[in-house]
Amino acid sequence: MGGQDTLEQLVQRWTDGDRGAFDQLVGVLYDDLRAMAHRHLQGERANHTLTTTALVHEAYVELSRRTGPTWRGRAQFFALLSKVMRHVLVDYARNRKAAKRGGGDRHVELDEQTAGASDGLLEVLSVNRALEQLEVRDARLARIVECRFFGGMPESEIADALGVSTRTIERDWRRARAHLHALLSTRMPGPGSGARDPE
Amino acid sequence: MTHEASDRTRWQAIDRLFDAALERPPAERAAFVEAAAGDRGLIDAVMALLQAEQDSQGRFESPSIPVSDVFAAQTAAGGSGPRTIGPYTVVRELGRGGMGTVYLAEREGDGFTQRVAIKVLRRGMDTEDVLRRFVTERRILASLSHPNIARLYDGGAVEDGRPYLVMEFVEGEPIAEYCDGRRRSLRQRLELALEVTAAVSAAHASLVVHRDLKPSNILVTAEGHVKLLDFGIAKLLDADGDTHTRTGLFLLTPDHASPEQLRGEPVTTRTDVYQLGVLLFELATGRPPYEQASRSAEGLKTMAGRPDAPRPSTAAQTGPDAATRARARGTTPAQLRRLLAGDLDTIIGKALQAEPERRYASVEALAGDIRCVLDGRPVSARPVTLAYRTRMFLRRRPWVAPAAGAAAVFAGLYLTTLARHTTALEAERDTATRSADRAQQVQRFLVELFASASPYTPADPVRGRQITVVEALDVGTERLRASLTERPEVRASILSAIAQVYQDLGVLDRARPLREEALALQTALHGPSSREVRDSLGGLALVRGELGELEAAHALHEQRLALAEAARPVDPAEVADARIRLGRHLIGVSREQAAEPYLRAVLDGPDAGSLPAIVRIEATRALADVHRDLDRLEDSERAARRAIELADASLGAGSVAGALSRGTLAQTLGLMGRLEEADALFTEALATLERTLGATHAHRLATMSNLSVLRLNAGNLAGAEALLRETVEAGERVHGPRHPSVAGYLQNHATVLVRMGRPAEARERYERVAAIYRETLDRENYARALPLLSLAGLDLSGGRPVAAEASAREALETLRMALPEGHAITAVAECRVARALVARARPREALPFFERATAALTASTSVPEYRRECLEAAAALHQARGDAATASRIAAALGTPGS
Repeated sequence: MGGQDTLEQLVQRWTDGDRGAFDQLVGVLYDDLRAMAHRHLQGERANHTLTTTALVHEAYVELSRRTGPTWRGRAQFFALLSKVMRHVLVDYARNRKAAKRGGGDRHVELDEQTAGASDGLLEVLSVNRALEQLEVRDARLARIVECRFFGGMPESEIADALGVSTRTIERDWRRARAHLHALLSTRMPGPGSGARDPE
Repeated sequence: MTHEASDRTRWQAIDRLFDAALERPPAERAAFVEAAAGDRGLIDAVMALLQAEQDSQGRFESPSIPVSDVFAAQTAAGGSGPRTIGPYTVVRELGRGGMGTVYLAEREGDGFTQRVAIKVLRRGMDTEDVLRRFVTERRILASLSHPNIARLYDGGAVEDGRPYLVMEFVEGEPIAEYCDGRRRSLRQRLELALEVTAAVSAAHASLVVHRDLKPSNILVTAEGHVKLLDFGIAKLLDADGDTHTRTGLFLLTPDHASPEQLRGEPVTTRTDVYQLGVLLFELATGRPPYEQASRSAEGLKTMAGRPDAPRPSTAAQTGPDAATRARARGTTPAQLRRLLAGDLDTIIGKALQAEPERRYASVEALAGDIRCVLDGRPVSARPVTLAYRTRMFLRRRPWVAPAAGAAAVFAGLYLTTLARHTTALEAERDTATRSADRAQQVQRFLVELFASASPYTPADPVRGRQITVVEALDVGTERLRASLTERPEVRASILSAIAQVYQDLGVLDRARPLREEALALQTALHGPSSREVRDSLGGLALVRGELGELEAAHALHEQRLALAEAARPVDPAEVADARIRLGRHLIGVSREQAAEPYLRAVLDGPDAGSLPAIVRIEATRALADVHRDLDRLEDSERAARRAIELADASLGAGSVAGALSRGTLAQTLGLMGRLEEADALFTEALATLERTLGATHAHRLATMSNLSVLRLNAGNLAGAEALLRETVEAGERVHGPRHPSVAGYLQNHATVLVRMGRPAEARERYERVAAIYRETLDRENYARALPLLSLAGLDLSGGRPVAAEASAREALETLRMALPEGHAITAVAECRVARALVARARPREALPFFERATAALTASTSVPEYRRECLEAAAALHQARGDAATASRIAAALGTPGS
């Protein structure tokens, strides 16, 4: 963990379009998130279900205390953490899936047809795949899904992060939901069918 | 164009049309798409998306992988814990506690993965003993099937010999954190606590005591339901069952242990009652009842003798973090103190009694009292005082709001709809209990009295000329002071008779001293348990009840019933009469369930057949009221019809009892929506009452008021107005202009006038009502606020914001004292203050009022018109201030699209 300047610089480089900075940011934030998640898993609070929303909010509080008011606003920060969460969850799901099949192959080809909500791992992977397709067509819809599904952000914060009204977010969410659903149930042909990392 | 680009263009065309279609009402979407799209492929694609939108509602909200698993997985791999336990694969460690370590584990079943929590006990516990107890207890524990209790599935021993228990894995948050994190109000917390009591109660029914109830053992799931962990586990781990051992002592949680646990005494279901008391204390105040639990065995024993816990209401206000704790309950320390003071202090205090036998006898009894608090009914746990009962009585009165239009104004229909005819026994039972001789003497005195007080000599003083009766009675009372002192027996009878007439006329304060004097005279003359004394007790009970001294009245009714039952020979008619009056009293204080057995005892008792008809009629009629109040409308209708039948058959057509029974039936039919039948019955009853009791008798006025409410609900404004005008005039003649009953009639009249578009006349009446209430009602009586709210409404629509603000603020002050926090009526008052402030160009000050009001009203459905008024005004203000997001959120709560 390289200190606050690094974190700030990483954010700056990332917002300037440096893709390498994003991977580093994910690494830094992942460590922070894990440390926070861990504190939740100690002792008496054993059965406490840690929600993404709670974790992301706590991360914000802690990181902004460390870095001062350098973030461009909490909503943007949450949106960034949502990306990190997406990355973390997809990674976890791939590893677990591979472990269950007894192999070490990180990139298991999945059949989205069978991916129902009953299996959290498959769900995360298939939503991620569908989201990759949606990203190509409408980046904003994809960001909304990312913030909501992976980042647990409420509509009002997503609206702030994307600079639009809550009503627009509500409306876009219906569209995004429908597109995702359609993508998952009809296996629409499209680009991005290979496993890609987000962003 | 590349393939990718054309795909994108195509997709955008589909999406645009889909987006536009979504803005249409669902029924019109298909036609819209058909009309707007050029080709079949486009139409099909959009229709598929519309279907997908429908099918995906509620999907993609969050991943179903628990985040904790994700982060824990990284460390579990390198951890030192077991990888498998029995047939289960360990996913990760959940936590460590005094008993051992808990793991999350899973097992592959037929096409599903079962997740469980496994508790591996710490070393040092006697595995054989634990397992042996597990075998004996498992059947009981396995039978503990309750939605709020986590199941115990299985048990065994790991390789190194430590025992383990396999339990249902519950995902949830400890109850205290759940409540604080979501700012749950006191009410919501009590509702959750009731779920806990239901679970504990069910376990007690299976003879399982928890013994270690504490917030960390009580989780709330994502669905908002409670799950209790570790039921029965403490006993499994306790070497000697119910007796004290080192192990037992070691296993308890000092902060939550009961004194008998600390002393090492046997554990009973009342131990759980105590621990529920600790839980309630913490949920309510955010603090444990005792600071600083000791950890040593010696210290624990000392704790057993610690002084009583502070009152929750005191704890709520003490400590540097009092404000934070109150905020987590959506309130302020002072308000929280007020909410807790009284019932909740008493309930929690009773659960926390050091001596088990002084606690609630069962968890169910504790739950019953919590339910009473939530419903605003009196609780069992306290010796009730008068002010308390009165407050409860008023709180429980239904909020009767008329169906009003946009310029809605409050109506006070609450008050007079509640006017209950006490009983027809007074009107029709006269000579049956008095000797003919005494009656004659009394009558002679009264005739003389009226002859001297007025130029007229009415044939019957109670009929027709009440305006002179009160004056005449005053003169008579004055004259009685000096006369008949040598004939105490006759004097007592005349005192009782005059008191009765005063009472019928609603002049209660004058009736009371006469009743008391009569009682004293009769006690001296005939002895403390004589028939005369018993009759006087009944009369005094009535007058004190009508004066609002409900506790005293209750005691007098009970005393009279006890004396009547003990009298030899027993007079079944007297016992029945005493039971009916006690039953009536209980109905009056909203304890219908308590009243029912007394009434049933009259109707189903061995002497029922030989009772006078009027007694059976009155019992049946009272039973009809009980059924109605308990929402058993069909039973109520049946009982009321039986009362009518009985009255017509035994007393002939046109009796008072028959008329009152018709009024009773009409009220029930009105609630059933059978308005025309109800109107006809009321009208018939009114004619009878006028003929028998006179135009201005209290029974008749109450019936008129009930009828006017019915007409208003049926939309018959002119009919309601005429009737109320007559009621007010008659009331003023009988009671004088400043009587609360008159205020009730006036309030109703004003409301009808508003609805008829006559605000000036209405305003004048509301002001009179407010003035009468200021003089006659307690400061904590919520009825005081109602005319003020109506005035505020009128002044707002009349462009007089200063006056509106003053009235609304006065109303708010009363309501905050009188009603539970977050009540819809209080919210309406806050909204009117806010509207007045907006009209006075002080929008910033209005915001906090709107905020509280919208919070309370968003969830409320009880007052739709007022809810609309408030939310619309709040949304408009936010819109005007440029806060479109908040405005549209409020508008969405209203169910209308934001602009």
